[in-house]
Amino acid sequence: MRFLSLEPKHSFVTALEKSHGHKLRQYLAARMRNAASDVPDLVQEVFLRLLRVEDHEAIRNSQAYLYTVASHVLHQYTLRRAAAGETADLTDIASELERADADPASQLEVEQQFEQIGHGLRQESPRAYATLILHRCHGLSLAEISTRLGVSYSMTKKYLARALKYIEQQMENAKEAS
Amino acid sequence: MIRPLVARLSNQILDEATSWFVEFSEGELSHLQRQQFIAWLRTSPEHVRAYLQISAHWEEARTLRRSATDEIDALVALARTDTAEVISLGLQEAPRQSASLEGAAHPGSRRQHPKIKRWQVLAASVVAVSAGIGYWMALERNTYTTDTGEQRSLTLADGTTVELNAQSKMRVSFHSHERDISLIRGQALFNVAKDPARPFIVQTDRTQVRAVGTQFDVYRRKEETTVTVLEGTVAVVPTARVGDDPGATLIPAPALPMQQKHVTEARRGVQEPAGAKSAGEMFLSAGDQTVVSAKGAVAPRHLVDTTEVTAWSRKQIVLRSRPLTEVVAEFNRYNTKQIVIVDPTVESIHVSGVFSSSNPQSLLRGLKSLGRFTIRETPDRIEISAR
Repeated sequence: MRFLSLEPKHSFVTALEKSHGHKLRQYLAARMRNAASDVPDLVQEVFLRLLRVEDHEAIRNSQAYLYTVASHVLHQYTLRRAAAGETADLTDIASELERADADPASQLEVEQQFEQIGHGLRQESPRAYATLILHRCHGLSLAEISTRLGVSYSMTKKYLARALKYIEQQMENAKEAS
Repeated sequence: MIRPLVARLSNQILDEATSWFVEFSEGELSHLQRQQFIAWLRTSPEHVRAYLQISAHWEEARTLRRSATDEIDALVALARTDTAEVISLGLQEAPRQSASLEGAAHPGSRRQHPKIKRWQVLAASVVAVSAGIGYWMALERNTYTTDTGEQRSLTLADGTTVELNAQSKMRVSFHSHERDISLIRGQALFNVAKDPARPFIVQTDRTQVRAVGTQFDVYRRKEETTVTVLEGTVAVVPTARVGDDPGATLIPAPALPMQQKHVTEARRGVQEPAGAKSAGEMFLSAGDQTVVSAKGAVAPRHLVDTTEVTAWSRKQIVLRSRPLTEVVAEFNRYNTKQIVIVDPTVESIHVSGVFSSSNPQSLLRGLKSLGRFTIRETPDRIEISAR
């Protein structure tokens, strides 16, 4: 498999692969928030790579696989940018991530945006809202939530999906308005 | 505008992406489901974008801890006061799966009870799927829809790419001997992957368009279907005799004896375009366009500027001396804020120009500059009358 045979020269990339989800998600969130114009290109590149591989390579753990491909694309993208003289160092990707993590201003902005989204969802679908908060903030499993709310497990999954969809819709609205 | 034009993710894509995300957050997926997930990702870059976006926002949703201060019991109580048993998840007709894995289960179809062992559930869902669930499900699978202002790019299992325009609906069913597409409404631009053994057939109410490997655009309207070829050759066959009910052709291909006859002819016809042409069949090559009426009459082919015909896929509307009624109808496909002609005297004024389909202001500015219209914007619509 081409992507995994790449020698990760930087510990950050290794870390990205190990934690697949967490750091990559943070990084993507930061890039999207800054309306980085290269996000569509990155997505396109991830898509093209997914087209190139054989099924059996991809399906062992498909979500982590997606994250692995995405983090490699980001890694190579940083290399290209460095080669083009745009940025000096591989560590930029790491520092960008640190900034996204640590910058109190953007952190506050994220919080405010989610606070608004939370209020909106609470109005629109109290069940979806409660499911999201119980799951994401209180750490209750969906099975536990379904018992507490007295609804089926599959319904609880739908509530969560509904909440996630609401977040995306609000984010897209915010992007369009900006 | 410096910011790149990134189309809004459609309802259907968000439904699919969120239900996949929930499935993954809930643990182990079956081999089949993982296969479906990869196939789904490979269908469109928009799917990849949606999934990564949801992942990113999931990460950030942690910050809700600060503002959502309700305790567990309060949240449970809140949810219990919500009496809406069925929640709206947008279009329920969404197939939520890729064309490349027909007969496979949708992520949400694994109706799992937490107490039931996972292997039992998987076994049960496989049985349910192979039993076919029902004719309706079989029909609704592999159906792709777009709303006003939405466009979708799809890569089908054979490598064919499809751009689906706004307000469109298309069903894909691939078989070993042919590739069938039903364009139920709207417009699609096909870039067909070559496969001489499996003709690619696009069906509208009165027309069948067959190709082997080529690029063409089909636009189905109420009164007629327009076919335009960008590359290669296609055969256009009116199918008026299938039945008087236009809905009849929506039945999957194998159920129609007429179609099977056409398919046999198609194989001969497309490979030997000079050979046996059946009555009413017309071959179009690059740059050709024809219009098939609702009665099945095929207009003589004529040459068109194909960049104008496919301008929609670049978010443009190209108008060459078109009456205002048509211009408005075209614009209203892309924008939820609808334009309304409130004065019949302006209906037949002809308009030309190139406009952005995602931005009605570009059209309104153009119309204003003509000096013949009064344009009034209300909160929910845009009214056009004579000056």
